[in-house]
Amino acid sequence: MLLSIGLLFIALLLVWALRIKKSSDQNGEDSQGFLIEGLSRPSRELALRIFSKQDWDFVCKEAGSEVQKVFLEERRSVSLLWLKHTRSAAGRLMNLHRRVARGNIELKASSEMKLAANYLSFLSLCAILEILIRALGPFRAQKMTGPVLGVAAELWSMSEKLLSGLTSLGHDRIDAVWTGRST
Amino acid sequence: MSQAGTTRMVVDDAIQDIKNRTLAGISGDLSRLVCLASTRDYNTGRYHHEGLGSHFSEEVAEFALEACHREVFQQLTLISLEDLVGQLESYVRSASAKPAEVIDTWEKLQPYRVTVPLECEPLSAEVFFSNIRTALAIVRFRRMRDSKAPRSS
Repeated sequence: MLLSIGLLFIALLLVWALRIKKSSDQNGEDSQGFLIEGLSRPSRELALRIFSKQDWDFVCKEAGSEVQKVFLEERRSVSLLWLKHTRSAAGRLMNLHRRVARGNIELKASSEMKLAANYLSFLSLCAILEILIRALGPFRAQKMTGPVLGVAAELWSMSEKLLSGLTSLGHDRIDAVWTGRST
Repeated sequence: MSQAGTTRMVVDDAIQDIKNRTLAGISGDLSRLVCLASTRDYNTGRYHHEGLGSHFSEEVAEFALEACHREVFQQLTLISLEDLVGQLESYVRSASAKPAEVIDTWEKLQPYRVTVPLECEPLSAEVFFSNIRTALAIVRFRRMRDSKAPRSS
């Protein structure tokens, strides 16, 4: 059991490291959109709608088994898409943070470690949610969206706070990082 | 007041004008969405409204229509499936063609795909498409069920 958990964490760290490498290899063609999208928080309202048990109850009441099956499949794929988007947005946010913060003397090791730990727990919760969606369906996995959104909100708040704290860089520096004018 | 502030106020006036005159007379956000999307040019993605354009300016009308379009779309992506089915049924009934024909066409041609705003998030668009597909299946199911049910009179 402990071995599996350990392996899962190693795998997550590896995926994270590879993603960071891959995105840092990209050139700055779509960097401006990257910056804006990366900083926007995942919509809680949209998540609540996607995983809504109320919709499932309505379909069970109003439609036959064929329509129920189609709906379940529709929501399964949409919920997985939501998860993919949320994970990807968090990845972009971390990447932005890493690139902007690099070389900045105002960095605090404790804050950076806290942010990294938060990102790791976010990824772990996303992995659990994905397993639950695939195994049990989106409506039974609904309860897991709360912790994911909670950790995501914390991640965004921490990152925004840290980025705004890097006063010597300012927004021009952040823009420059993403438009490839400076590294 | 700065020029940007003045422009913002004019756009707000135009948005209120659209809401009070055009959209207030349309029942349901789905019908409103179809109406707003129809003011957009398929090729350029730009919005045109003759009355609004002459009252304000072409540019202001375009901004206002785009804002209303985004707002209505966002509301639609967040409503319950039950409400969406109700709105779809209402839209199908109000269309000039036969309801069965409208449902068939919506399922085959998927005209609802062109009703999404240009700048909307891909995820929101996917949620909307998925909900419309389900709503269409439910409306079709209900119609079949009602046609099979024995008439009480």
